[in-house]
Amino acid sequence: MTNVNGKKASTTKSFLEEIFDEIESETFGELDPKDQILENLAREILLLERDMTVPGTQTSDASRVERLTKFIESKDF
Amino acid sequence: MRLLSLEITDFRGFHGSHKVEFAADDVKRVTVFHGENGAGKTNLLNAIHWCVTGLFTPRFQDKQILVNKEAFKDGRRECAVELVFKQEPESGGEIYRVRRVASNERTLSFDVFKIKRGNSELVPRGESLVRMLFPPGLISWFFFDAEAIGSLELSGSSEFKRDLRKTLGFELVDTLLVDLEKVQSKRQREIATQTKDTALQDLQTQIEGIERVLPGQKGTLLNLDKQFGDLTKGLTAVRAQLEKQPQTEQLERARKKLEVQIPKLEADKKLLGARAAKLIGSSAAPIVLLELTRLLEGKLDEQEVKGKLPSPYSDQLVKDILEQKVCICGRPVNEGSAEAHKVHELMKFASTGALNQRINGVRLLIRDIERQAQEFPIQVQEVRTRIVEIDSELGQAEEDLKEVKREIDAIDVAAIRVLERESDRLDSERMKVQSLRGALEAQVASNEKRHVDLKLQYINLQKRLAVNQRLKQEWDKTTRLIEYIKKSSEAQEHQALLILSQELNTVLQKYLTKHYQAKIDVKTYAVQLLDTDGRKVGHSTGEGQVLKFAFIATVVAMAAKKTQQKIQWLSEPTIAPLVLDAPFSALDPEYQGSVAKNLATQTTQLVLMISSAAWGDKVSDALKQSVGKRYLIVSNESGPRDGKPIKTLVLNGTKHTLNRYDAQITESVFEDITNA
Repeated sequence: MTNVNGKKASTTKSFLEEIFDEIESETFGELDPKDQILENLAREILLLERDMTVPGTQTSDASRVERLTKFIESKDF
Repeated sequence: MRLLSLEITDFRGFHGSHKVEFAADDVKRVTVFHGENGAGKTNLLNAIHWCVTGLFTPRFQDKQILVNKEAFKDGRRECAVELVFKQEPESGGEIYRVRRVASNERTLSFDVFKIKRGNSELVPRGESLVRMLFPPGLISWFFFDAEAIGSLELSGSSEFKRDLRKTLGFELVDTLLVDLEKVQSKRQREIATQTKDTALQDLQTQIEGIERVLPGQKGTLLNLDKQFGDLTKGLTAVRAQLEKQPQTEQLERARKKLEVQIPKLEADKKLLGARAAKLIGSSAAPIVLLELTRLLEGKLDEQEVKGKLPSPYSDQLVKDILEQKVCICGRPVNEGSAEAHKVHELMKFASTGALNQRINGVRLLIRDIERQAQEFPIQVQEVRTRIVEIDSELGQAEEDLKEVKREIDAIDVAAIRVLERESDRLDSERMKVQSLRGALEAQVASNEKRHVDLKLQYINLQKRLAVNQRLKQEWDKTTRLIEYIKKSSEAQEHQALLILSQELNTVLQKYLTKHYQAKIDVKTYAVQLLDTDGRKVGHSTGEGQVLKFAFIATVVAMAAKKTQQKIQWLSEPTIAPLVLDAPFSALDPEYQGSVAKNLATQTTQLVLMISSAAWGDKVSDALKQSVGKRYLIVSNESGPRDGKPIKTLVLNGTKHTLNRYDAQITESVFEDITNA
């Protein structure tokens, strides 16, 4: 994979960077409009889940499901 | 967050209260605790780990004996550990004091205080706060028992994958997906009820049945995985301890062998003594005879010189002269002549063949006596040399026997039996867990497959039914959202693993002299080191051990660094010190310096517990600039020295003692040598 002069190592590095850049390039702006909506919703619902599961909160499973259901109901997509 | 101080009271080997402070600034960020094996390094690591989590590292033994034994004898029944730490300025810079008190049976109290202007203010639900500051998924990476680094599983076990997933911050999205599946199931029930279709209702009932049992089964499976991992670690530790114990069986075998060898050598010596005596006895006659025969041979030689023995004339010569009637000088020797008479007279002195044979026989006998007289001393000498050798072997065997007996007497048989029983117990439990795990894995796989099949059947059937538009729409929205989050989560996971690989390889480049690369399997999370030809490098090799250190450092760095910003769904970065018990001893000396140096630069705070054996010049040089606090953990023994060693550590030309005898009580104590 790598040799002493590092030629192959740089190839590997480039490969990793390529993939990394590829993933990075999938920025919000480049998503299709449907996925942009879903991305926004995913981020929002993740924050809701985080608030309900953060240590110290006492939200039960049933209550979480209820709030997530209502959240999805409230969104038109 | 950075550790500021730790106070230990009557915890394990620490009698009374002991306080230490940690180096916590940006430059001097390393605290080193020097202590020999058994001094209390693992107890110190576990004091911190337990204070924060209520749990111990897997290698920590006798968890039910927390209160210091001497304190217990004095009637004290509680131990306490108090940790003071400070959050990073960007997180508010708050200072907290966490105190856990326990008896041998249970935790008695756990309190968290915020320190404001020198005053302590109790934090309500402090446990939650501590869980947030020290996420349970990360804690085993931050407070790491590096002596067990050999058992760090990088080969992709489900427990390792789960821990790493948590570490990378995917726990939240995993929980969300589980909850969304419940939302979806709820919608499906509503549709089934609305359509009043019994087949759809039946399918949904079956789906719900699986959904009810599957999380429990998965949870149990994870617990079994963890149990299996812990049991394996425990078993490895106990077996390692057993290997360090004197081997009773081997010693007994050695004793028996010596006890057989000694009498045999004594018998051999006796036999050789008798043989020597016999040889000396047998040699007396030839030696005496040799003198006589030498005289006899002298006489024979003398006679021979005088021409008497053997006679100068042989009887055959005389007979020939008389028969041929001519002397050898040419003169005639006629019958009846004076010459003939004179020649007849010579017959009296003429030698015969028989006489010559007898004389030769005597000479051979003399040679034989001579030979025997010469050989006997050599044989006697040989026997004597062998006797000396046997004497030496006998002396050595007797010494060895004494030593073996002393070692046997010194063996704590009871302790070995305890370890052997523990090893058997762990092994048997491990096998049970493994068998349960196998069975449960099959059940989970079967239920998961059935769940997928039933859902497909449900969707197909639902399409043919008149479903309320609103319900259908809500179900559809939930399904699309789940699918999107799953797809995105997978991409995030790949990205996180790529970043982890990149970080790991950057660290490895600093650690290793060889151009090796680490690769992380996206499916199993197995971490593999590859050589320059792409061949796998074993985890047990020197480089494999370095990979484990590099991996821990990378995980800790990743948990703290801004790289997390690139993975948008991950939980908040966690900045915590890296506390390592007994590092470097598992590493090849060639890597110790580079690993030490890079650990210090990669972490915001580093606490090392290290034995003098692992503290070489390379480690010392690598950490010279960053050590801010330095302590000795000294072992005080109440018993007499009795020839036992005194261990020392030389730092900056000063010799420090690491263990003492004839102390009032057996205990571990800290000595601050930062300025020594």
